[in-house]
Amino acid sequence: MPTRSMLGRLVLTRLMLARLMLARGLLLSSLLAAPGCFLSRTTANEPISPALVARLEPGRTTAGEAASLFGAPAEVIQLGRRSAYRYDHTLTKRAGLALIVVGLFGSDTHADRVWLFFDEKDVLTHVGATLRAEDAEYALPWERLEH
Amino acid sequence: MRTLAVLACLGALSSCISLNWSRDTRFEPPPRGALASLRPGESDLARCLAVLGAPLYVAEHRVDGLALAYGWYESAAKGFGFSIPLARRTSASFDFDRIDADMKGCVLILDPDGKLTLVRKGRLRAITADLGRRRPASLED
Repeated sequence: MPTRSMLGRLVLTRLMLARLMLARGLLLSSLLAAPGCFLSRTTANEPISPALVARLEPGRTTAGEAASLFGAPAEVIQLGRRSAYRYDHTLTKRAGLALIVVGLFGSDTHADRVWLFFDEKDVLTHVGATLRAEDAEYALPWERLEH
Repeated sequence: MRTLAVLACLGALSSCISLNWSRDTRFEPPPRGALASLRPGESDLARCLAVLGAPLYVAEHRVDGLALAYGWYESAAKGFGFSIPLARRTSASFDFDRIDADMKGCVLILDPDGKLTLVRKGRLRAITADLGRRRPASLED
């Protein structure tokens, strides 16, 4: 006939065993999940400074001055006698989780992009700027993007 | 022992079979109502750039006209896919001639005086098909 103290010890031992199993389970799942996580960041070109964009003056800034401010354009387009320069910087943030055979991946790309339009005398006529590269986010597929 | 065998099998399978759920977003659509605020015959290049920002690309349209193309992309697979990687993945790069295949977008056509004449919306590749290749500029001083 088991005594009360023996029953108590048995319950305690079972409880400890359950805790040990749980700890092992958690450790194993952490070990399995850990090698499959990644965050990566890919950039193209240098970020475009809003301060530099603000220094452009349509009607005054020349193509040469624009080139000395921003450097060589990524693209030059001939528009009849006029031309347009493109400057851009792209930022891609990727997040992934690979759990044995299940892969969850999210990729978000945004850009800083500036187009400068010049007349036939190479004087700036228009500027189009979108500076959103920093809006790129690390997010898995179910996560809501803020932008 | 059985658990270990199952884990080993799953581990081995992961190198050739995968269940993927992925989302890819690129750039951003124009603000709500922005496109509707542009009026053919009234809006000019400055107004278009102020409302929509910098286009994805610019092309000459006919003689001295202008086409501004804007694009954005979102692929959000709601279910799980099943794939067997048969080919190596190539690295993603920003080739503006290729990324427009599945992009949504709009194209603004402006006349030689810089006035907006037409707005097209749809898949970027389809709505830019008749614009032709962009003419590279000469880089002479």
